[in-house]
Amino acid sequence: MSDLGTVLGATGIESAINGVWNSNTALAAAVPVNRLITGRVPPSEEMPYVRLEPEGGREMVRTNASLYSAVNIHFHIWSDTYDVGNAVAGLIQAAFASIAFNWGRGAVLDMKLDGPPVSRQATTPEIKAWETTVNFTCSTWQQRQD
Amino acid sequence: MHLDFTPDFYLLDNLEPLTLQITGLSDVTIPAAVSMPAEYAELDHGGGNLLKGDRLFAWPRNVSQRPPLGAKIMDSNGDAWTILAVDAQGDVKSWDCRARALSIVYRLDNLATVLKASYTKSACGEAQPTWTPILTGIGARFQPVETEAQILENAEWPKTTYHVYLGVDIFAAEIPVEPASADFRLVDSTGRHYRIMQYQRAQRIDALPIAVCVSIIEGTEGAAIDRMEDK
Repeated sequence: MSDLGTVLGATGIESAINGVWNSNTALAAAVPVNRLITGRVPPSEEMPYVRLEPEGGREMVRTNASLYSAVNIHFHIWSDTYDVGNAVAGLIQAAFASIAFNWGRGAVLDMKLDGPPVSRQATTPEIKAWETTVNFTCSTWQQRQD
Repeated sequence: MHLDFTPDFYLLDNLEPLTLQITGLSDVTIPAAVSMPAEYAELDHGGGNLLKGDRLFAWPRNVSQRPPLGAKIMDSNGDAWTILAVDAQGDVKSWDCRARALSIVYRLDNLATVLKASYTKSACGEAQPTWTPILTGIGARFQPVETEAQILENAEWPKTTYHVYLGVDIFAAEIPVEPASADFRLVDSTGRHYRIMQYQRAQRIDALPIAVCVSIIEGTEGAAIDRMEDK
């Protein structure tokens, strides 16, 4: 496992992932970080783009100061061709699989790849696009706020 | 008493020669015909770009056989009129033909191109289209009909539907286009691609065909890239 250390300026797992993405030359060249979007994608977005979808964490261990959770992170790559989506998926795997990083008040202790990327093609006539999904389960630590 | 006014017909003012074109037959020259001035109106709601002109023509019955509906009259200006109704006038022994000319106002933005896909397979087996023009410079009015907001796949997608009135019936037998097939696209004068969802009013003599289209909004064919370039 590779520990990337502290992602400067990050305030949570999503902003830390943005930071890791931006510092990865190959990934940022394939999809600039401003096309990595958490939540709903605006209609003007150019492909390929990636939608980052965090899924609610499952609490694993709670101490008086810390909370250890498992959080699912999904990268949805939208591209015009299968090959582009698959290539970006490979870069995401190379950049994020089995890494650790922190943002001061929290950390991803291990980012575990959940199987190979999955691709499908949109079926709406006016949208011709591929969605390739890369899934991770992250073991996280954060300071308790409660 | 038998009255034949045919000789008197040729004494009328403003007679003009016509050519009667009947599919599958030789053209018939009508040396002299009389007509009422054409009345023009908007064929459909098309921003004033869709015109229909209705006009009455008459000529002696001994000059031609009864013209069939759908036959074309070429007037002395070279304009084509499609016959919608024929009356055989008994007294003056003439064919009275109500005819219609349909047109799309000629403007550079009222032109369309039809593209056809040919496919190559990528290494992974994806069928990737290359789009080639097969019909260019077709008169067409891209009339916006409705646009609606939709959220699909956690993204915002504007869906805009157009009625594209075509000056050429691309569903005609001699044209190798299957309009609603994904292998074909309409392209407007700005280069925007449209997928034909329905094709209506094909092979009508009284109306222009309509391609009901949606603007393609994603990918290299889509408008999202246009908007990014405009930023």
